Amino acid sequence: MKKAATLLLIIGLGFHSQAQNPTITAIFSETPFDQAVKTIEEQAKTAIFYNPQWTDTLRVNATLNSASLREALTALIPSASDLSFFINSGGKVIISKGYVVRESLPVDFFTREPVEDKMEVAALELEKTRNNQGPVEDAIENKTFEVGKKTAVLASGKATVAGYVKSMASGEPVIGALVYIENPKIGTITDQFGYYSLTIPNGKQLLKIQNVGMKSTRRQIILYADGLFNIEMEEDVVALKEVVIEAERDVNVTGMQMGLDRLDIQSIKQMPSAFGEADIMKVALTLPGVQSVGEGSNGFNVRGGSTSQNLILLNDAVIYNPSHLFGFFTAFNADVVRNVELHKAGIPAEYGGRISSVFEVDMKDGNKKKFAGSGGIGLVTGRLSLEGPIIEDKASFLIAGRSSYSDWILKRLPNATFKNSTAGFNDLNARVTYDIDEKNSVYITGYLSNDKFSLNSDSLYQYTNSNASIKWKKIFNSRLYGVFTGVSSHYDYSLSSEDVPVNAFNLGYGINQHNFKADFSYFPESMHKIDFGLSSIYYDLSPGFNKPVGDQSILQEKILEKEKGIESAIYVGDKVDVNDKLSVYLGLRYSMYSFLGPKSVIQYDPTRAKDVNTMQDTVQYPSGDFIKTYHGPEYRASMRYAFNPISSAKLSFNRMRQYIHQLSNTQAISPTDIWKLSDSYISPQIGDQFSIGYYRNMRSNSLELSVETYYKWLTDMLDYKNGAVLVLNEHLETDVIKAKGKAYGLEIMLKKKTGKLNGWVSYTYSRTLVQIAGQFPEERVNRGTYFPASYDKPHDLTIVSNYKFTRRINISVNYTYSTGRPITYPLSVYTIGGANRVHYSDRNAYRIPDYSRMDLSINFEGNHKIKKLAHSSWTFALFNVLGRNNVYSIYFVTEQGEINGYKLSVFARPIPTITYNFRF
Amino acid sequence: MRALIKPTKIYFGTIVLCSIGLGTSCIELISPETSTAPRALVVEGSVSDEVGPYTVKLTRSNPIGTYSPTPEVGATVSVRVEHGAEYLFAEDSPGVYLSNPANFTGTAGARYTLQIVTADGRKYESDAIELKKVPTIDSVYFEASTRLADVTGDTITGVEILLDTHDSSNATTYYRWEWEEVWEIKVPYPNTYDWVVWPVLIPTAERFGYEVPNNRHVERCYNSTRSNGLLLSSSLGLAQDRISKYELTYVSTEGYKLNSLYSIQVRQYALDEKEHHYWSELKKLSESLGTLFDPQPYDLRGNMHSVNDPAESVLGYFSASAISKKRLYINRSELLDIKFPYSVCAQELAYVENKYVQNYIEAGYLIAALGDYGSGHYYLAPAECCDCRFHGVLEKPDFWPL
Repeated sequence: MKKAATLLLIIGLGFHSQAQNPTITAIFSETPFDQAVKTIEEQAKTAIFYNPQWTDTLRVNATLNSASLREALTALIPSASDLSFFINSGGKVIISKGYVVRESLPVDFFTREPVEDKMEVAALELEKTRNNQGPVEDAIENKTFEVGKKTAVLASGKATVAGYVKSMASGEPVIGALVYIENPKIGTITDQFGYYSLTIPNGKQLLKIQNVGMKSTRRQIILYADGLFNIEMEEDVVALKEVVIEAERDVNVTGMQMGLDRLDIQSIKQMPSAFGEADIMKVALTLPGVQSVGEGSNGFNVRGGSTSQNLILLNDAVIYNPSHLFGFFTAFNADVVRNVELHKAGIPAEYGGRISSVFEVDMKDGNKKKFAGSGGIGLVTGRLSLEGPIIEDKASFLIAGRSSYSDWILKRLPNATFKNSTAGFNDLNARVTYDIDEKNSVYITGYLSNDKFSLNSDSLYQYTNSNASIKWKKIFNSRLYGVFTGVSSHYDYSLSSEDVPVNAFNLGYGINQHNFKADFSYFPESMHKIDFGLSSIYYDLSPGFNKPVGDQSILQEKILEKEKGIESAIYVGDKVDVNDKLSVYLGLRYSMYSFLGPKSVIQYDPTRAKDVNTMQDTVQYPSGDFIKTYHGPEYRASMRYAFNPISSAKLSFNRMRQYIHQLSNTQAISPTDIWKLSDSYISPQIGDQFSIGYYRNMRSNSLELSVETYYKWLTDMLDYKNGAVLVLNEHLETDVIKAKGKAYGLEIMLKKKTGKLNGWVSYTYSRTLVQIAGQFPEERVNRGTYFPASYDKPHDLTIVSNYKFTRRINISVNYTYSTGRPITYPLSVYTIGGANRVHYSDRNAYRIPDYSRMDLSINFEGNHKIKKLAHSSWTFALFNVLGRNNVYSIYFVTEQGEINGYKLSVFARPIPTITYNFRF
Repeated sequence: MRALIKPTKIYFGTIVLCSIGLGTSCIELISPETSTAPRALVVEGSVSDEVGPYTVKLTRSNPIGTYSPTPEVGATVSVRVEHGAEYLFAEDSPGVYLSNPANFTGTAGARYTLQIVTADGRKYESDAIELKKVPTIDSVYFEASTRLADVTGDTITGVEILLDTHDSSNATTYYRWEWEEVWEIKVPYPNTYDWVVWPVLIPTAERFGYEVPNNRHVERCYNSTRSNGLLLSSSLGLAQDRISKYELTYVSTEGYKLNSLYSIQVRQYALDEKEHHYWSELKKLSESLGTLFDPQPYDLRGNMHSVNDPAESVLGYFSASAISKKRLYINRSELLDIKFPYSVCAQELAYVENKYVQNYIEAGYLIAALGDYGSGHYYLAPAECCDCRFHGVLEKPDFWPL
């Protein structure tokens, strides 16, 4: 900043004047430096640029008699000061502080041995400096910055320049920005803190910085040694509404990562949604390889993984239930989201604990420069967020809340069932960011969400996600930084009914998770980037309780024993750029898990299937005992080979281990699914994925084609036996069973990132097959053969398109088609014991009809004047334009001895919504 | 556990989704597409230690929506005793195969296998199952109890039929019961006269007639029902092999069941672990679907399997158990403490002039009694109050005590 200000002053003083060999005659006696300079400027008809701050206390004594400009300046500037001057070819003078500016390189500059001398530096090209009206950014671009301690000689080797790329407007980090030099070609991408580290040859370098939604910029630096260098980028007002999913233009081809989708919030906000609110998960569902079982389902399935196999992180805290209102809304308030990353394959070693994918949501920092806010009003929800500096440029806050008013709507519906129902949610995000100094930053984040619903005033269901995290980022030096994170996550649900006083109950479940982790990134040289670290998670689960409510309730209290476990891991990963064409990432994570006492563990007859009849004994383990320990390596490797600048192939393999399992076998969508830790009987799930892909950019990077294929092996997935009871079960091991899975698929995506019409088309062919073939007949499903998982939807086509009529009006049209999901279907009816019974098919042997839906939305932006009180926009959306009656599920019930089948569609007709958004 | 949580008979996801969808019509009754799956063979059969004949009923499952089972005719059915003889069953009526009691009576402890060869030559077999011993029923008794009616929510009175049993050798554990209830029906206005209309030349609105005694004796009938739910219990996890106060059924005071003399006969069977599992899963699958905690349905298999194709679904179960029986009678005089609702017929008696009697009869009334001598009036009541055959059969069961 200081340098920028300096430069401004210099520019501010600049004007044009030319004179031929003027001489100077003056006597200075304790004359203020400024005055002396003015005298010289007048007589020499030149301009002298300097920072008055350097000289405000300086007084000069000199007698000049027809002195040349050079002589005058030599006399004027005291030899004891660190000021020096430079006269450029136009005769203008630049006074510099701390180093000598030379007009040209010394003859022996490139060949000589290092000498114990002041640094000599290449000439500055000040002609390019504009007059005093020039924007700040341009001025900065033309300044040369020194990086690293300049005491040393200009060593011939390489050094590391590192620092943050931040937004000039808000001080927020810019994630995924490309920072590179062109000769030799070396580049990197900023991480989730906006941090970059680049090891490049010493000397003068031109850093170029690019990011979507930001004006591309560059910095001239002279690199002496390892050092920090922060960069501010200006927001590109024009580019604001452009849809770009990957942040970098050619990262598709040149990036190391495969199976990585990075969503930027602008494109998320453009997608039509059912209730007018920007929805991160719904956008994720349009990506190839990401599916869900249907509308209103919790979570998503990635490449044949179950919903519980996704590691869903909000600021490093695990979110156990990422949905509100049965999945119609996500738990993430899009207003405060900065960045979303979905790793489908090639998962780096720093992540672990779930076998399918990593879905990382990063909350943005508050504005460090000025107070700002945004919000929206939709048909079902309202939201507001406020942010601003606590200490300007150093500390900021962000707080955002969201609440539904669906209750209010339900009360107004004519149907009595709805009138007596309630359904609603609210959530709150808060974040404080504090940059203590250039090398230390602290982030404190909190999240709280509540969901509540009751049907016809019967039972009241509630669930809560809450978590808090504190993160300290410390830059040890430009080659090494560390992030220390402490997180507490909590999830619980309860179900209560006081309808019948004698049966009044409150049933519940809860998870507490505390983790600590330390992650380090080390940049030894430009070819390598090494990440390493360790983490530990302590789990404390309340697997269930059912308590009487009120004095009249005759219910017997039942509380299941707590479950505790500790999961730890160490990892190291090294990314090596072997040459321009080949990059390799090799990582290893070693995870360990122990199931902890106190706990009573039931023993079973080993020669028979585990069930209530084969229980033999119960062993009591005291507190702190390691009842069962599992551990194992997780291999992570990926490779990229660039055939040429526009096409590349990537390859990856990863193994993941998962020690906490979700169980669900209910027909209905239920927030009461439970999580279970690995224990004496339930071993960790292991997922291996091999993936290979081809990427090609066409039409000068405006069209991207990616083709990826994968094969996945899933071992020891937890499935349930036929007829299992999962809620309040004291011996879940009798009702669950290990399953084996395999998943494979091909994903093709063609994306147009720029132009009036942009968007993408993706097609996925994928299969997910499960085999449950236990040792005993009771432990087999479908006779031990492979059957499709309930989320196996082989064909999936998604079209996302956005057409920009003007800068203020754009239209999005999305279309999605997929094969219907498998269900267990009633085949026939028969009679036994005088009552009708239904004969069901094999598990998941049939499918519901195919799914097809088109959505439409129109965005009207207010005018684009930069300076106005508040910016607002209107979004009109039509969800399910075609009104297709997509079947969500088919189910059969015995009602008064008769078997009736029902089909359920979530949105049987188009749903219009209107949302008003604003920010200030 | 299940019983403690009040089953939400609202289809959870459904209603909520609908309500959020702001009333978009989203649940629809469907007629399921006719499944192309082959109709499965359904076997219902048992042997016991009582004198037969034992019944094996063979049917085929039907597409959803058809409710009368299709009998499987022309099969060869036999039961083989392990290390012993094979007894053939003969088809008595379509799909119903009976053993010959003269040559086959089961023995506790012996192992039996049901063998079926269908008319198209496919072979089916059961697992070899042991004919289990069963303890005697300690008692079957009743207790007065008040309930809320399902639909109206009104309070109704009635009795719970309860059962106690135990096995002092702790060998039974799993129990299943069936019952048959029989009750006597006495109509309040037994009809003894028919009505004859005088012939007329010109039809008029007023039709006169006269009564004729009919000697029909329709004042007392009998009716019976069988249990159709699955009555199962187990003493697993209890210190003793004892079942107490197991509710077999609830008999309400509505209607005729408890009005005169009621009787229930209970048959107790012993089950093995596998059979218990089968019946309880069947119960779970068909009697309680649609609530929040219900598991996904699945293809439940019993102990029958196809010899030709092990993957073929064969439904039903072949059981073998000794039987212990107990009968309970409840006389109206034992129920004096229970408040009975007014008889439906109490308000129905009409006093009708001769010329209108035929109109009443055409409207479904019968003569309940003659009016005062010479008044030309008759008492008429709806037929169901005058003819017990609306509620049962005249034939008295052999065992009926009165």
